[in-house]
Amino acid sequence: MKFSYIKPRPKNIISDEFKIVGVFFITAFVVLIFSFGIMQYKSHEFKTKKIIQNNKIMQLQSTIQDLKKAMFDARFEVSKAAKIGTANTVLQESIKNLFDLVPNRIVLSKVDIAKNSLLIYGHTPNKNLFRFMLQAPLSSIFTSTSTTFYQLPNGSLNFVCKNYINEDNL
Amino acid sequence: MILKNILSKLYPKVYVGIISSSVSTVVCIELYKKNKLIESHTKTFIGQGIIQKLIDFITPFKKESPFFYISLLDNATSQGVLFECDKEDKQSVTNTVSKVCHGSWSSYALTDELAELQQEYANVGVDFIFSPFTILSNIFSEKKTEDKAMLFVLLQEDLIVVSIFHLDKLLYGDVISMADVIEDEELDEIAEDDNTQTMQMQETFDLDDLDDLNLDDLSDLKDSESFDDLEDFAQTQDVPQEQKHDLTTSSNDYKRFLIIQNTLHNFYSNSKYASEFVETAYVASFCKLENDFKQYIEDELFLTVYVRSVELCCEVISLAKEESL
Repeated sequence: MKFSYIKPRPKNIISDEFKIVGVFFITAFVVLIFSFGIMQYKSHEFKTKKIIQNNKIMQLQSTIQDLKKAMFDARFEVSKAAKIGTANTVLQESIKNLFDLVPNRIVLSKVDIAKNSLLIYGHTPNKNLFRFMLQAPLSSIFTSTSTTFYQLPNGSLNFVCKNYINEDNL
Repeated sequence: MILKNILSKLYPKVYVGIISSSVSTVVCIELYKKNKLIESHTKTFIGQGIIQKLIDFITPFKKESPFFYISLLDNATSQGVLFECDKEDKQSVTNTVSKVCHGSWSSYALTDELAELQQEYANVGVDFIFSPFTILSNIFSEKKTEDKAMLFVLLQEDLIVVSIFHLDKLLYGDVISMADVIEDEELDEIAEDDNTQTMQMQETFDLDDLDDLNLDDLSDLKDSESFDDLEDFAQTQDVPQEQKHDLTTSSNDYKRFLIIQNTLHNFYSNSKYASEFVETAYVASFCKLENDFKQYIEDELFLTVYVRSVELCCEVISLAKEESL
């Protein structure tokens, strides 16, 4: 104030009614902008979360595939082990049965068990004992049986008994 | 704030100046757009219910723009001037006095009277109240360059504002109401005394200085062929006397003369004022003056007088314009 004793009254360029309407619209606009901003932020956040979740799903799916493959391999191994176990059991039974067949007076020196054949090397006091006590049960099991004897100086015999099973008879 | 600046350029600015006196109230309205005067109105209100008439007059203009400034001239006789100014405190308002600083001097007014003035115009509203000293200083601002003491006078119908400046330094300032100066009866006595003195001087002049009479004028008298010519001559010689008589009997102009005379007397005699001789007087008149007012003061007070008629209302508006920038 350079000259006047009093200060001028404040000049209201905008009327009170216009101020109220203006404040309402400005507030509404600000609220809309704010809401839009929040929605944009949330949308962006959800998109980011979605990408992360998708990546996790892909990782899990990959893991599942790996686990399925591992499970298949394990099942195969189990099956294989079971087969081997069965085969071993069968073999064990076969050997036990074979040894049960052998009489006390005949001594086995070597047994060669194959899939379709059984080779037996041993020592027998005489041929008859071998034929009646061992060859006869073997002949009932195998398709063909042939025995070769070698005379020893003490009068006993070494033998080689070859037994085969025809696969068609299995 | 930016919006306000933009809108202020779109709207015109309306300035209302109100000069109130006991006789009448002068209201002038000026509309400015981009600092160019586009409309101007002046109206004088006399009588009762001035405020209502004022409202009716200014209301249509009030709707033109929100930038509407109403300015008043403070005509209180209690106001005055101080010959110093605290630059730290250019404008101060206390419980009793409001002060405005103008360079090396300041004007003051009573806060209560300003409040009363605002209350009086409460229905209209007031934005600015100016001191007449400020107006006077503003009117004669270009004269304050001369390196001598000068008397500045602002004449209104019922008020006289006098100030004495030497350059920008204020030496004296006063506001005098015409009603406070002298009563009519006293004025008549003074007028009679003055007439008597004038007559005595003429008689003395006729007797003592007869030899110094202009003989050419007498020769003209001798050469006149008719009595009508003599009458004409007598009338021609009497004109200055009649004019002087008119001034003395014209109470208002004589009161104004007396106020100016008293002002100078007070200024010269009071030791608290600076001792400087005033040679020139500038008179700004916002009232009707007799033709020989200027001559009378020059003759009686030995001053070189310049009288200027001013539109006080417009001066108030010019200050309001500066103030509202």
